[in-house]
Amino acid sequence: MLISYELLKEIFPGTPSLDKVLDLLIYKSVEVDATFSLPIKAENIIIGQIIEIKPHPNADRLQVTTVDIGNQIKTIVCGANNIKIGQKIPVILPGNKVANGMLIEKRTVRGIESDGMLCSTEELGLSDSSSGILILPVDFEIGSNFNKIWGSPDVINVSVTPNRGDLLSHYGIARELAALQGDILKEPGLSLLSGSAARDKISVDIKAPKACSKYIVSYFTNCAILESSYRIQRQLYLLGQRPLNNVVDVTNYVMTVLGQPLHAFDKNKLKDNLIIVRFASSGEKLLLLDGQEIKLKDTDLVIADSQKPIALAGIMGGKDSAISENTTDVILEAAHFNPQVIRSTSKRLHITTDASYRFERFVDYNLPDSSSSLAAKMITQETSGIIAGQISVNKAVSKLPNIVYKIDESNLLIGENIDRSEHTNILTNLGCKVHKDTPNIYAITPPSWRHDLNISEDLTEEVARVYGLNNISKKPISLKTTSNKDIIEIKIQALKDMLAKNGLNEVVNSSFITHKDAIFFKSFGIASIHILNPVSPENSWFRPLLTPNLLHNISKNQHEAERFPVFEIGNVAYFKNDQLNENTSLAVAIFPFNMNDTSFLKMLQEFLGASFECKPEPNLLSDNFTLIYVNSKPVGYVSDLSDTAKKQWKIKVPTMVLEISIESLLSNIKTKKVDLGYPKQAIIYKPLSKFPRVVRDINFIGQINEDKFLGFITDIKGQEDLENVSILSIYNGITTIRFTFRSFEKTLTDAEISQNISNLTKRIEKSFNIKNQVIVEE
Amino acid sequence: MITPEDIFAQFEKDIKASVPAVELKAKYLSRKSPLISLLRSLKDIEPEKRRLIGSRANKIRQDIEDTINRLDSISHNANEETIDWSKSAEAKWQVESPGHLHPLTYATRRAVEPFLRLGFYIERGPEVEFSLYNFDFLNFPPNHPARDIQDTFYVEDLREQKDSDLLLRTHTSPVQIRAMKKSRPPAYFLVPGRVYRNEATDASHGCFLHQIEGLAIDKGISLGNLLWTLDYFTKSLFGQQINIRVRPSYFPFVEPGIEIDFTCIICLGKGSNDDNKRCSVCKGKGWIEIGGAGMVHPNVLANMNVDNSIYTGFAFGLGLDRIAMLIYSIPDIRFMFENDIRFIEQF
Repeated sequence: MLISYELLKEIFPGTPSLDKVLDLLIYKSVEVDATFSLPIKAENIIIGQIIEIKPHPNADRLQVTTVDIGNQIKTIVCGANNIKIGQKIPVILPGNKVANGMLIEKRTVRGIESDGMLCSTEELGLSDSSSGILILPVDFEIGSNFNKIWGSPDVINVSVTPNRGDLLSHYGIARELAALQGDILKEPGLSLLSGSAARDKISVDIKAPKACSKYIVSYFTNCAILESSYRIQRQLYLLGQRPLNNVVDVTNYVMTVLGQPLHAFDKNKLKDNLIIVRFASSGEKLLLLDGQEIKLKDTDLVIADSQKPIALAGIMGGKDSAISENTTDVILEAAHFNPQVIRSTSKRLHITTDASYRFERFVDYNLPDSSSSLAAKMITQETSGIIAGQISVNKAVSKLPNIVYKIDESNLLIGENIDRSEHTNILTNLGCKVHKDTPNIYAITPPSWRHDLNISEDLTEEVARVYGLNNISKKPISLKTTSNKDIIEIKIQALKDMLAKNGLNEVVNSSFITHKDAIFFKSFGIASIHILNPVSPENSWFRPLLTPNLLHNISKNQHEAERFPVFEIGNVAYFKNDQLNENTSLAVAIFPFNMNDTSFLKMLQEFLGASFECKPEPNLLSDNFTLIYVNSKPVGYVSDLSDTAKKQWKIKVPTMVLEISIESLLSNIKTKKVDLGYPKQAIIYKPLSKFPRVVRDINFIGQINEDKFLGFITDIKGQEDLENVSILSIYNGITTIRFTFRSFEKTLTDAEISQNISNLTKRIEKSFNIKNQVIVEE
Repeated sequence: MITPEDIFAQFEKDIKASVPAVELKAKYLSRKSPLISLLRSLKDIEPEKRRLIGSRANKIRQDIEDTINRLDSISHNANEETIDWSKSAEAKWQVESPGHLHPLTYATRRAVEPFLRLGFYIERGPEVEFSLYNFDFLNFPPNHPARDIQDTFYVEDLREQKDSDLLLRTHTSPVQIRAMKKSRPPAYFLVPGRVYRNEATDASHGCFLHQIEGLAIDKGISLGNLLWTLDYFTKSLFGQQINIRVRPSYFPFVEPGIEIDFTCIICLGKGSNDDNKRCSVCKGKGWIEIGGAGMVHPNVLANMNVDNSIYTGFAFGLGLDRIAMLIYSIPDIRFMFENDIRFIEQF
């Protein structure tokens, strides 16, 4: 939620400096996402006054204005239709740039020379679009610099947690800041007008008292719907809102000031002067302000006239009864709605508005009164309308809780001996009524705007945060040590260490699999779990096995390495016989795989202390697919890949895959102690090149000194795009060295590689006294 | 009228009954088969229905075709060499060079270590979870905006008895309830594990992430104990010069609730608002956010069957991906799950 610092200061003159405000909010109240300032982005804007407007002789849509800018009179062609003689407006003169960087020049527009431009908020850089020139207050001085007058107002983006609906307004933030400084902000002190005049003309009927416990109507006549004043428009721009007209702008302005969502209806669009708050009948339709027509359900609360719904209560008004430029009589709603009712409808229809957002988070029961008063005052000023009266219909509300608060228990929970008087002060400043039953036991009634304070721990939190969370002294905990060596998680770590020691690399994959992969395994009789709201179609199933994503890893890396044995340990889940199953699985994929090599299987059995019984059961994955049983219970499978499977995962190398459910097998692993090893040296991640590697094997006549060569490798690695060097073989007096090249900038060309090879070969010949034989290309 | 789903159900039965691919093709994909007839008859029905049934029927046709094609190719794989997996290997498994563990494994081990030293033990729990455990037992009020703090993945429930919505857990906190329901205080344990958030993926957020949850329930546990424990953890992991700071926050299952930051380990808290000198890791703030914590809410203690008039507790949840990224200077969370050999071999 955006907060205008100057508006905050206007409401609470005791508001401290911006930095102090941020400090107080961040450390004692709510998170602040960012602060920014909103200066005018166009250059050298001057305040001018329109002294004459004439139609453009050659263009219907343009007007020719004469503008007094103090020391000069300018002729400026203008396309906007909201200008009048006598208005003060922002003017940009030739030689200056508007917000989007465009240079304004003296130019002829359809035969009339235009000496500058009248500015809208778009040209000034205050909004992305606009509907007319920004009209300034008449008391602004002609010829003065508007950039200076506008200034560089600060805006704070506050991230209010869902329990603190009371902070969703400038007044709420001001009240919080006051309390945090040991101050109390005065109530707005606004009261309703007497309602008799309105009662004759409008009647309100609340048919759903549990969903709406208060409904206040203010009734205005003789309103002129125009642009709202500069003061209101300025605040709305600062808060990222687009001004519409003087009535709607006041409702939005009052909402940001006090936190009460308001709605204005065109009174003459109401049938029978009746306002009914009721649940919709199933199937009723309503055309909303934003143009979409919705079909209502009987759980949706609506505002209706005698015939049909005219607004979706607490969420959005209807189009038919909206304020338009022809409106003269206005009805203003300020109501208290049940948060859950508003939320259900907002969720169901996927419509979230500033109003529904606030109602969901609870709006103070007393706010409709003061906001009706403030809005009435402003609407009469802005529209020159007459207030005909206000009526308030109230239904029963739940009483504020009375919380038993024990100081010593609260201090024990915090772990700090905070003075009783400090508890009292903090809670009183926050608006609580504190009644001392005994020196230690207080009865606390929270203020009407804090529906989140219900139990004693809630009050403890208030005291702790205002006292200062970082002032609480840290207290060691002491507990009996438990032996962890037999728990599953530690045994899993032992298994990981064993696999790594035996040359396997650990991968960690997403838990989601593609539709195509889910279907593949469906033919095994495994029903994968379908994600109802996936982020993308590729992630629409929860993995029933680790295998599919492991095979994607093989596919991705088969061109990167000669060998890449990998494993993953993670949770898999699926449905079987209407039951949900989830277990921890170990999957292994080994390439290249030599046919009939069962040595890995043997090693794994020995480590797990289990004896695998293998039963072949050919399927899509392979004719060699074999189920693994331990103590006659199936625990997993081992297999190679059929051509079909290789096609599915685009694998070209012979590969072995294995997956077993490990939870039941882990208990056999003997762990003597908890050993959580990790590299002791610092490792800094090195970025990977996006370009392909090139491998070249070079033969040299003569034997190489391997130890010396290792040192040489360290020296040359990284030079000339050399990613890796290794001795492939030393056989019959021939040494074969493998070079791997890869650039960070580009795909290397043959010519570049040959040049590199030639350079390296020369260095090796010289350093090791061996001779280059022939180039063998891979 | 026969629906595409009916046809697919029958198809699955045939697959289980090992009906040969040729027959399946004739039965499901020929011009006169019910599915193809259905697709052809779509032009006669009203457009709104047509789109709906059409897309379902087409998807099922695709699935059937894919499956049959695979069955078809199985018979072509017949020339594969047979492997006898039960044959005991004569040779030993050959190790050319040791493999590499994933940085997340190392980060988890490093995060767990200080707590194990204190005497915590480790608990685990399911990732496909009931709404009851993920939300209700953790004091999330029904139909409350607190449930929107974490965007949730919901999953289709194929169980016969559906007592609670199924979802992918959004935090490791359900394990607090699961573990406490089967044990008695005092209890001090950790839950490292994967959680899910239905959020757009970027350099610092994925749709799955890893957390380490901690829970301590005992007589007289205080906020001061929580702060000490978090400070001890941070200093053990990153060094004595690293401090924590806490800010008020809101999680329905704790009261009071706090958010934890620690000194940026890169700029050591210097921060800076100067664009050129701004630390890229903490974005000039001097602090790095690491997780949420608080004192276990009395309602949650009650849901654990713990007497909340005798016991209090603290709980915390820390981001393991963030810890791994900090320890190893990995700039983008996505790099960790692409599983490129060149990435894994660095660790």
